[in-house]
Amino acid sequence: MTLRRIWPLPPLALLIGLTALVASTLSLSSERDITTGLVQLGIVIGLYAFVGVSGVFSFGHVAFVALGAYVSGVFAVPVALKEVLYSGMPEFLAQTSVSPFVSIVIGALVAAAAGALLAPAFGRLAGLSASLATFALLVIVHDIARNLESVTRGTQGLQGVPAETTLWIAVAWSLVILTIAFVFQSSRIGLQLRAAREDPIAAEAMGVFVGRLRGIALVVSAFLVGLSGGVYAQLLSSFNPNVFYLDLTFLTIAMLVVGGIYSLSGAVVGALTLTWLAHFLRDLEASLDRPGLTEVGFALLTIGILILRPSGITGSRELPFPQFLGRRGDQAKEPTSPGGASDARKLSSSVPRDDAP
Amino acid sequence: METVVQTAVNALSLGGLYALLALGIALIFGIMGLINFAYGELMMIGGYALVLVSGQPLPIALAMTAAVVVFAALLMERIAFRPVRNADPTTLLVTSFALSYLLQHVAILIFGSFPRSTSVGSGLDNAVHVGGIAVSKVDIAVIVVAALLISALAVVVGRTTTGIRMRAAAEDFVMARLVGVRADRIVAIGFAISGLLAATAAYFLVAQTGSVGPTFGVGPVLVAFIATIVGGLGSLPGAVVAGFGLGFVTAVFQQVLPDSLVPYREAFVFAVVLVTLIVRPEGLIPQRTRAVRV
Repeated sequence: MTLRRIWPLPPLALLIGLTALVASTLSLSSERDITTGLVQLGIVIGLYAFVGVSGVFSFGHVAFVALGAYVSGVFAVPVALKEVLYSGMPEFLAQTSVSPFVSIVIGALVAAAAGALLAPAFGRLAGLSASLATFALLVIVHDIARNLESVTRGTQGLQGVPAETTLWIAVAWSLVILTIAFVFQSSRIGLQLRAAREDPIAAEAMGVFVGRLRGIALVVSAFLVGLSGGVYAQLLSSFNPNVFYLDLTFLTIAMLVVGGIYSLSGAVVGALTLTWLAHFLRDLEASLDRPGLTEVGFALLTIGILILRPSGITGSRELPFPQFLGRRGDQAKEPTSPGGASDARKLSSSVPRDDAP
Repeated sequence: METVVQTAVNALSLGGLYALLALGIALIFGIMGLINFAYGELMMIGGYALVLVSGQPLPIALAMTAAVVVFAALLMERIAFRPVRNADPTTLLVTSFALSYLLQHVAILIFGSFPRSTSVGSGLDNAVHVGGIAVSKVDIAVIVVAALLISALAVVVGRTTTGIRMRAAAEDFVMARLVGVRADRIVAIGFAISGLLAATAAYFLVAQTGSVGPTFGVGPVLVAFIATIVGGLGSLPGAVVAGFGLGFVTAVFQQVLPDSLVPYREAFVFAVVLVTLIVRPEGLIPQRTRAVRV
């Protein structure tokens, strides 16, 4: 295994590690800000595994986050606490409690199952119809979380989830998610999907089952996003359905697009950039005593970045492989050429609208 | 009988409102591929404008509100969307998210985060009795105005030179420019009409709820967005049909669901949306010109 084969994994992992290292030197509340950012990074990478790899946009991935958070949360609350807080809970759930780690995996599996349920539809859906299909799922999940009071406690929110997520646990999970997403995008399925993203008709003509592969990508992505949901639940400890609704949807989509939607580097760079940006603005707001500065500044800077770099900070390319680590000729075949794809896209997007999502 | 008529009126009035909302989104989406989530904040601006002019006689108040919202729509296009017009659709989308977030928080800074109440729509409060059935004035007004505006828009888009240019731009923006359609002007006209629709919708929403808050437009814009996609990705007739359809489904579920399931109404409505999408992935009334050509 050469460095080039796993590029850009090392620098991205390094970026995440550095972020955590810097955060661990800051105040407790700042550290918590960045920890939240790292959990959201996991969601953004999971979102990328579907949106970036397949090129089909999704408005509703937070549905899988919510599923992961709620399912893992319900399983992780200690039995003793359930007797006090959750009186109407079905017997089976009330008597069961598993370790925080196992609960996260269960939550992610349920999210993946929901993805699998929706997957067959992606044989038919493309473009914005597909984006809206996941959004419909989000509204349904949100509505159930709000009303199924015997299990979720409705709008009061879930309480008593063990607060296991620390800065370094968030780092560990984001690295796990990053690695799975990288393996997926470099796999045979990932490559076929990225080919179909650039030209669906040509890919189909070459024998790529686009619809079926999109379904697989949805399941993988739902699993990753579901993992983040469980980690998020154990960071917050108590939360209500609105935590996993529109605000989080907009934030994670903004993170992905600001970084560059069609590259793994873009997902990481975008999420970390906006996390630090929000953090600095909060600090500035506190020191200047200007309430509202964070939100207004955050929105203005996001618009500014997009006006200056409409294809995202990374321009949807992976981080370049540095010259000093080896010349291009050393490895005769590079598995993909990340730049070429987005160049083709750039040409076609000089038309204001395309059949692209 | 009474409940049937009542449900029908509710369905029509809700559907009419949804159709107006959807047209505002679909118009811009058709021309430049932008789903303008900040459309909800145009409604919010309209709502606050209504609060501020509430002392004036109704026609003047309405005219001033419409002017403010149309101006805001044009400003929005010029400052935020024109610089990214040629970018990827997702970039446009996130720009509109950010703009919507920005305007909501500016509204919080100016008006505070609690809703402001107003009596501007109170003239529509009471009900009219038709053959023993009470029908609220707001519902009637929404149905009438929606019918008028939709017909007017159909005439403008279908018959006038501007409308033809607009449809040409929606079909093939580059080609339309090559044959002399002024891109900036067409986009600006689209935004102005969309602003007008937002102002109208804002008035009815204020009349129904009596108050305006910073997140006033969030719910309606989601409905409009859904109707736009379900209707056929920017097809104007599709948006109208899907708007009415959504209103109809919502009103009927409200009526027929057993009491224990009424809180889950949204979930049922979106299950219908999901099934509709799977059955007709190109939307209810697909635009033929949008089909992929090989």
